[in-house]
Parts: sequence; C-alpha cells; structure tokens
Amino acid sequence: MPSDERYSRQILFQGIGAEGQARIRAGRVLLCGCGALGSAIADSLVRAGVGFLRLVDRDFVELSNLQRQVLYDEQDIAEQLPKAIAASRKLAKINSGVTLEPLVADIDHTNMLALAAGVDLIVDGMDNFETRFLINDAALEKKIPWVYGGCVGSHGQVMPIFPGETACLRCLIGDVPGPGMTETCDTAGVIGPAVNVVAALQVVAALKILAGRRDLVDATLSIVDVWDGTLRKMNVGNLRERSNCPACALGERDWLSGKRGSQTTVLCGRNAVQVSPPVKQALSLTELAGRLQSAGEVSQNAFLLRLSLSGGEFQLTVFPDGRAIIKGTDDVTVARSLYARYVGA
Amino acid sequence: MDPAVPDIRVTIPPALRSLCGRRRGTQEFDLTLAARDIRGLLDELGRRHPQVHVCLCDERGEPRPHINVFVNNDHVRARAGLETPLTAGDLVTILPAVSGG
Repeated sequence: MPSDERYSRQILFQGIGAEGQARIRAGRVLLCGCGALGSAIADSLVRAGVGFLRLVDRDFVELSNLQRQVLYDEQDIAEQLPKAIAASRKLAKINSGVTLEPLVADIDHTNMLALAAGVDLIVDGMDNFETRFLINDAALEKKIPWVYGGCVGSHGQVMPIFPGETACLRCLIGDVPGPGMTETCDTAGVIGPAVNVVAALQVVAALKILAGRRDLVDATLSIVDVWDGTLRKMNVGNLRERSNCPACALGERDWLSGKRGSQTTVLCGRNAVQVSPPVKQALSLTELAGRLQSAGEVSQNAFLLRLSLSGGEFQLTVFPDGRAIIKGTDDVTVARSLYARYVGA
Repeated sequence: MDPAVPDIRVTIPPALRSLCGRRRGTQEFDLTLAARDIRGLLDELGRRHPQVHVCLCDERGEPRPHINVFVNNDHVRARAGLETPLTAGDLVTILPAVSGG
C-alpha cells in the first residue's frame, strides 16, 4: 500500500511533516505491557507508522479486559491467547508495514537489558512499580528515553524521562509503595476514557521524541482526571538536582542488578507460589479486605486474609507483612501478576 | 512562630476523599485548611483527618516515598521541602504515584 497516502494526514500536521514522519518510520520502540495502556499505545504507534515495535506482556486475555483494552475481543478469549500474541495479530492487520516482535514474557532483571537492546524509546504500559523501577534502571544504564504512564479509576499521570537530563522515576518516587499502599485497577476499578487519555499523552510524547522533536517534550508530570475534567502539568524540572537520586545521581542500579525485587518461591506439591514484596511494610488486612470485596469472596482473621477469586481457580492468602501465597498455580509469572493486581506493589 | 495562613486549598487522592466525607464535584480542591508551611499543613490534616493522614505520611509525619506534594504547580522538593511557606489561596496537591495500567 502506498505509504504516502496512509500517513498523509499526519504529514500534513505541521508538528510532524515529511521529515518527522520519515524519522517515525525509522523509529524502534519497546512497549512494556500490553494491558489497557499498552494496547491503546500500541494501536496508536502502529497506526502512526513506527518502524519497529517490540511488545512484551506476561498475561492472557480475560473477559474483564474487554471493557477497556482496545486491541482484544471475545475470539482472543476463546482461543486463550496471550496478550502479546493477540495484540500482534491485530496490529499486523492494522499496519503490515510495521515490524512487530511480540514476546510472552515476565520482565525481570535477567531479561530487561536484552528487551531494551536496539530501541530508541521505551513506553510504559505496566501495572506495577517493581517493573517500572527496573525499566528506569535500564533506561538510565543505556541512556534510552522512556515515558512513564499510570492509570486507575478515572485518573492517571504521565512523565517523559530523559536519562541524565530530566528527573527519573526514582527522583519522583523514592521507593516502590509498600504492599497494599496504592490502588490497582482490580481493586479500585478503571474506566476506558481515563486509559485512553493517559495513553494518548504518552503517545504524544513518544511521537515527538521519535520525530526528532524532543525539544518540544516538557519535563513535566501531567496529571489528569477525566471524571473531574482536569488536566494539570506539574513542574518537576529541577527535581533531579534536588533529589540526590540513588539511581540517576549516584548511579545505583538496585533493580537491574537484582538486589531489589519481589521474591517468589514455588511451593512444591502444593500448586502454589509464595510472593514476598520488595518492600517489607506492615499491611492493614482490614483495609485490604475492604478493597477486595468486589474481587471475590474475602475472609479474614487476625493472622491472614484470604481472597477466593470469582472463578474459583485461584486463592490468595495475604499475611500482615505483605507476603502472599497464591494457590492454584505453580507458575511464578501468574502468581506475580495476581499479586500486582490484587495486593499491588 | 508565624501564624497559620488561612484558605490553603488542598486536593487529596480520589481514593481517600470518602474518608473525609468529600465527593469532588466541580471544585478543583477537596479541603480548605490553615497552615504556615507544608509541614504544618500535613500536621493539620493529621489532626482533622487522621485516617487520610496515615495513608499519606509515615510515623515521622513525612510524606511516604510514593506520595508527591505540590504547591500550585511546583514540587515541594524543588522548593523548600516541608518548610515551603504557604500563601493564602495556594493550591496544595497531594498525589500518590499511580501503578495501574
């Protein structure tokens, strides 16, 4: 198909033009996570004609995804497809001129640098801070710009990060939140329009960077709430100088080196995995129980909380130190995913 | 000690609004407090809404690592941290990092 026709409206747009479009076509991007944000980001980047997109995700498509994860449909659930594969199939139909590299994988310190090899930009579609801190370390190490985005309920935030130039994620967030300290989409819910706006802000930053116009990307934290109808740009310009950041000022790579990160242990013969969070912090089981009411059947005593998920397939037993035993799987990736979704980290 | 400055507008995380009986409508803030600086404002929040405060601050009364505090559009760490002075009408935004995606 003639490329000029496909991208004609984008080339007409003054901010991009023919030169910007040629640069976008040559651009190589790593997208971490193909959930709600990830599928909206992938859809936009592939339509915009990015040259190469590596998509990494550890999960499978589920019915509760379809309300907001724009690349998936009921057929993907019937075929029990991993998200990276289902996404790649759709994206290939949308734009056959983009080279796609789908990977069904759990991003950890052993594979992060390989995933980031040979890309110009990393875009964040993750659902947990542990992986974001790992992305941050890898981006600093390889001097690759990346775009943080997070979304829950009706609100979210976006921050582009240029290693060595602007505040990094650890300048903004000193450490991963303790277990149960943040809302997750599986406990607080999320609406599609919030996802789409956050993803759109990430893609705008990505397109500017790929088009060679990073001078137009503000080093700001954009915060948006679509239910309230607010969008604000918060100044984080000199946070890097003020934060004495362990990662970008002192050069520590705690997450990339494997020094930090959750610990998982397969409990042999029990069809269960124990997940210990990266931050040891007392967790209020009562508050967590309140948040999990809609997720399944919750029971609690002074020592533990038990959540039996609606399908009956998995059971999460959470202890006051944040540790959890996920029953119903001996797959560490599945267990980490369930922990991030229901306990949060 | 300088007296507390009145009419400091404060936004708290949406998830915590119900803990202080608020439901945001069209207003761009959730609470109005009096304080001379950010530390005083967080202390005042702790006195009035302890359930909200414990989610935002540690036992020393300082913001938890994933909580960012802004005065108008500036991060307080880029100004004078918890000693950042406040002026009547300032908008203080207390913002947790968002993990979902």
